[in-house]
Amino acid sequence: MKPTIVYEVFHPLSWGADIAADFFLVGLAVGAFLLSAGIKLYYGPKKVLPEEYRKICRIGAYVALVGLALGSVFLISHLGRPERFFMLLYRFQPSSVLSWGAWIQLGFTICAFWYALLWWRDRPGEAKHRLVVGLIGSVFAIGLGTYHGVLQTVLKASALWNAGPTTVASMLGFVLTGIAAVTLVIALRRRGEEALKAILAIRWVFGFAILAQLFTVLLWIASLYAGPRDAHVAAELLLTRFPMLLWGGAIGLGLILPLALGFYAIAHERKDPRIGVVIPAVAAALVLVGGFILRYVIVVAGQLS
Amino acid sequence: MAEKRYAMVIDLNRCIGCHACSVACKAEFDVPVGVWRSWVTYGERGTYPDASLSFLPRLCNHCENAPCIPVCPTGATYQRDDGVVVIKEERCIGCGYCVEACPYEMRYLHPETKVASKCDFCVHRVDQGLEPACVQTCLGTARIFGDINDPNSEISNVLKKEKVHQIRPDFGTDPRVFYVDPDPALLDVFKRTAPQEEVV
Repeated sequence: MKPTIVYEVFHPLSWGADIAADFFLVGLAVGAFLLSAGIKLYYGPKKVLPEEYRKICRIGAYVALVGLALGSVFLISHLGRPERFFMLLYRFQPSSVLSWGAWIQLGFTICAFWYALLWWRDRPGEAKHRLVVGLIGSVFAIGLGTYHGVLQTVLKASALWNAGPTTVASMLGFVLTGIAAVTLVIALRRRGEEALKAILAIRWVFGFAILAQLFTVLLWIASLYAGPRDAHVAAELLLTRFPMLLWGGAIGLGLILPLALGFYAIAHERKDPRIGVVIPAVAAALVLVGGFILRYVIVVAGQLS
Repeated sequence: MAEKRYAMVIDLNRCIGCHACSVACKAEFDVPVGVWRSWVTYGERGTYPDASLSFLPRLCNHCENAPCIPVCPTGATYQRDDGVVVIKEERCIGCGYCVEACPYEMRYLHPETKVASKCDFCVHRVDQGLEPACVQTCLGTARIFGDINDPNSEISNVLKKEKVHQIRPDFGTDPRVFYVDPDPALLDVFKRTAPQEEVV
């Protein structure tokens, strides 16, 4: 006969919405930076960037810096002893993923600041300089994005986190939210034709990123469900305790609805060009909301599994 | 003679589930309300008159391959030469990563000091030749603490005579807390995934 647990101690969760916000904002910064630097790298030092791509690059650089700054505030304020934050740097532990992450985040912070400064100054003759900083920053950005996934994946204590696709889903989610944030800022700051051109320039990348994220998240859930006992229990926990947040928020609101809106915009933008700006802006806002919900669900459910 | 290696055996035939160990630990460390370094999990089977109750005293396992040690970003958590896993509080930044890394959910962030905390086998007492508070207070003498590298110690004799079990050895952590005659289902279910629910 199976026993029922009638007395057990459960300590408060140590990671909550603040860590989810840190992951979300830093991830968004990583994605925005990669978009900006990626375009710059694609065009190289000699080709002149078309105006709409220049806008995307500039806004991507600013979004990366702001996202990183806000994320770092959440990270440091989460610490029980924030005044000891600097110990992360001078007491480096090679065996700790978190220790490596602190240094990678520092490197990315320097690059993101420098890169944003170069775009803000916008001096002629600094194109090569921007390219080099963008390249170095991209290495740190990929490292930082990967680190945030690996940070959770290496913990055997959580069957939900300790699954292969966790890191891939995290990284894709970061790229997606970065593109969404840049799209939203373009729609809010630019007017008419200018905004439309810039949004059209990244529309397909945005759509593809949504599809890729949707596929990865579903694959992640399926692999957990079909996995060993602990992973299966974790998947059941995810599906039974967080159904609204997962299916309704992260997947429905954050991925499927934006995708549907994208198709609607493609079908109707010829009649009214404003649709080509307003609809992607709404889709981007939804992706950001869904991205945060997904991050929150992963952080909380992972601690329960 | 090999260096000391501390461990604990808990004989469930002798445990009466009185929580004296939990309270002694609370008193020894002035543990705040809402968090525990040590406690007793209760499992219930059947219905009256065919019912039974089983216990599983819980504390840090002081694992040989403790997953909380390598993840600590500041080196605040470490293993002493005698095998006891301890936290250097002045080095802890309270990030909670070790709390997440412990598969046995034995760590917590102290509500007052804001750093990680857990059972440390009462090293302040052990270093003075005393027993941990929970061992000293146990009414049924269910807890046996000592040096497993000393072949003449009581714990070594118990380990030789009795068949002992560890919580979830499949995690590969090699816990240093052993149980005699535990309810196997309780050993398997201690995670949040299964509170108040039937054991898998």
